[in-house]
Amino acid sequence: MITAKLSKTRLTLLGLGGAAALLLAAAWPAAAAGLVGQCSDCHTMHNSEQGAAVARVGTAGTITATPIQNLLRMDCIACHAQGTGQRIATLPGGSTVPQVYHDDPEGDLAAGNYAYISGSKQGHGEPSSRKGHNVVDLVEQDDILTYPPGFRHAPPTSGMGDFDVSRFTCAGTMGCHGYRGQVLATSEVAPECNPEFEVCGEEGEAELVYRTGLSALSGYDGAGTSTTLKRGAHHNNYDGLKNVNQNPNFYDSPLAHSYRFIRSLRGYGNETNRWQNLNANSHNEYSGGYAATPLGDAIKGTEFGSTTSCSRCHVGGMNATDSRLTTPGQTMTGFCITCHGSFHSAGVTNGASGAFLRHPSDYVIKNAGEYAAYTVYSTTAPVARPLDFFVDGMGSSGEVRPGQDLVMCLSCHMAHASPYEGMLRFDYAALTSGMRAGDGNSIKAGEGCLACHTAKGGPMP
Amino acid sequence: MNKRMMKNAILAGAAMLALPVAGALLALPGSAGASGIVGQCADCHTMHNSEQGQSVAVLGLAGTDTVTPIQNLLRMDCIACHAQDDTKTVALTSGSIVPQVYHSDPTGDLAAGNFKYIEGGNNRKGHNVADLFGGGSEDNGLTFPPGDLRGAAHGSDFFTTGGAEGASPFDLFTCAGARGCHGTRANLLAGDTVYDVDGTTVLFGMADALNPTIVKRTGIAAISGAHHNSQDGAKDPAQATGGHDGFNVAASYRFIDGLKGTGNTAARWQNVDSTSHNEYFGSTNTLGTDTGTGCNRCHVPGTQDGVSSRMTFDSTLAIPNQTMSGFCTTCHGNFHSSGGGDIASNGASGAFLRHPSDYVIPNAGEYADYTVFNITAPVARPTLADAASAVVTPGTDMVMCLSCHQAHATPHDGMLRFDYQAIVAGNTADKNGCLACHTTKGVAVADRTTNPGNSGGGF
Repeated sequence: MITAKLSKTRLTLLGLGGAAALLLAAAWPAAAAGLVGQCSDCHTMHNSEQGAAVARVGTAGTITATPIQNLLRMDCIACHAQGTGQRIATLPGGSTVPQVYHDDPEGDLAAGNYAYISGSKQGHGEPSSRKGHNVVDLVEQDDILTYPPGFRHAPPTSGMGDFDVSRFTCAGTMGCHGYRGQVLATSEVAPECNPEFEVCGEEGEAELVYRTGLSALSGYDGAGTSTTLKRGAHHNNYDGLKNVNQNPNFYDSPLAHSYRFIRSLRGYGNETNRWQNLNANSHNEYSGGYAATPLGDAIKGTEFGSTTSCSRCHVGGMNATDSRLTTPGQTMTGFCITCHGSFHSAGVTNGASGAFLRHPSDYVIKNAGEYAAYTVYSTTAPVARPLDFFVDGMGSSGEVRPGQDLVMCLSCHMAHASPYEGMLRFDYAALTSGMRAGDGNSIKAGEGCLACHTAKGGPMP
Repeated sequence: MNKRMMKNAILAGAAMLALPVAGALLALPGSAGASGIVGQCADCHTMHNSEQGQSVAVLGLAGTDTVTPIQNLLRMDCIACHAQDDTKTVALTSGSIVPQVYHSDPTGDLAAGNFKYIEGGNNRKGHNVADLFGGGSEDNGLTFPPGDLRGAAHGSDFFTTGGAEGASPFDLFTCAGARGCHGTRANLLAGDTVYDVDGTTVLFGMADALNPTIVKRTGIAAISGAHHNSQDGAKDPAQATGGHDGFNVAASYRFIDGLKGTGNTAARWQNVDSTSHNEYFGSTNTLGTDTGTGCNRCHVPGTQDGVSSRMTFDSTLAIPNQTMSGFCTTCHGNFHSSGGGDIASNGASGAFLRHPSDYVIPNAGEYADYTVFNITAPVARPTLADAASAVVTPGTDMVMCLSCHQAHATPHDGMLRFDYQAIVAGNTADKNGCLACHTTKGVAVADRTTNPGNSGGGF
């Protein structure tokens, strides 16, 4: 009996301890390193609980009887676009999940909100393809464009690649996150093939199935031809500084070490307010610039609008099980130009006059003239930081340093979608709230274009 | 609206919904005291020349689409913005007002005239800038500017024909920069010495006209930095001193580097009547007083690499005395006629051999009666004016080149403000043109109260 009492006490203690553990998990602070929470938040062993399927797919969270790979309870969209009114969702066991599609009135995460494209969240003016990247996982395919603006493989340029807006996805080939340009499997052509994810050739020919979606978060990577399968991006993920090491090939999980799972991209994720650009002192830090090396010079001077210099972006060949797209220079701008290459404008390809033909990107903000006055970080015009900014123990900085920090693609654009056309952080062309030069009447004075072009907003003295 | 204005409206998208607001805003930027460029960045700039997957930059009179971006991220080149062949000023989508140098406005022209009068081969009516007319003054046989100081011997390549310089002398006579008027002139933009494959044998030195690397500063590069730093009203720049200085070009009258003058703020860019007009600057100083001697009365030689000392990366053309007539003198030097002998004297008789310019209107004889500003015969002032004045003061104010001519083009041969053959002496009540100053010469002899000969000027 005593034993029974002890057992009961032990069980009680265990129960209390377990509860305490649960409480601890739920109360884990925002600066927690990466994925934290109960296994059952994200996984289901057999997709069968109490006799019913539990796996969910898509924005509607539709129950599917077919299990999802990696024993997941939700596919990418069902987890990251839960369609709730919150920009950060909390799963029952305490895991917090950044949302890319929502109607949270408090605001959006740093990359924006795909809901502006479909109208599920009201942006500036009508919903439109012009407000963001039309990833078909979430929204209708783009109804205006057939390939990315500034695409280096666009016709009439002789292209080895191609683009299909009906296959433009979040991750993998014809996407952004994870392993891009990597073949998952090769198989004989079936009499009927699903054109959604496969290249359908003539019967008897090999057909290439590329990594997309969940499959793209694993991939063959490594140094040279010694590649192995790298997995576990989510479980090896952590917050804060990513990929300072120049060579991502040495990581066990290169994606986990990459900013936002974009292979080899360097960056710092806000640890104070995860995934958000909140204000001058709480925001992500983006990487920019070129190494002072021959490769850095070559990347800086490359005319990314042509299809020469394939190796700037393609590593390990193409259309192979270990080929992948890298991020030139490991910078934010370098990543954008893998699809929008013609817009690369680092001051080397300006032509005889020396005047810029396109807005500079990965270009140091001059410490002279009107640019010298941009010294306080504005989340409407973020800057990129040079390599030496990224050191262990770093945090967000509220200071902008003309002469060192750089303008980048994300200085003006948002990565996913924004309330404004052109995926801009501001309205470029509307009469009442756009950038206005010359009379000091700009509603956005000191923001957007005028954050760097500090003199142009005001009247002449 | 013409095709280009419609294109602007369509591209602006949302602005179509705000047209009534745009209409109201038209009054604001164009009103008196407006300070230079005011309006949305999107009116004039495009970041990547790619909007909704399409190029948007346009060039030239026809507003031709171009896939190649225009420098300085512009949506239009000079001509596509300033020569839209519509009204004499054009309002861009969100209110920026742009003066037009080529248009079909029936209500009149801006102060410098209207290049459209040249269209159809009427070369005598204006400056045949290549940006609009593709060069070529062959029709009236000009091979160099009338009155050019050294004639065909002037310079190494204003008049070079063939090779890299163009098939005819005026192929490269442009609006701005080298062989033009506005912006920084006589300045090299790019160029290298070209070596043979051995690395030491010079194939083309910088002085070789056929050097494929030489690019002179013209067009947008010549006025770069000026638009955003400009303002209306009195312009009092420093003298042009070498190289390209966008701030000084911005501070200069009509972006002519070093030129002083006062733009009409009541009706921008226009000479409307005696109380609403530009004010021009003049000086009786000998040419070279504020510059140098000989060639350096106009040329500011450079010391850096270049084609010659007068075409380097740090050379330029100055404006002698920073006056309107001094500016004209840089190309039409032989016509400078101040009576003082700094270009040409009046000869033994003392009588003028050419019509005076930058010369004080005598306060005597018939000239004393010219006391009310007449926009058919504007005068130059010895001090930079703050605002337009309707008063002409003989004995102080000056006749200048623009007293009779207009800078761009006019309806009349010789780029005159009036029909030269229509000015009638001896029996007319007209007081315009020649007769604005020569007040008696139109009057019938019997009715004269002033002897035209008693002018005190020896004629």
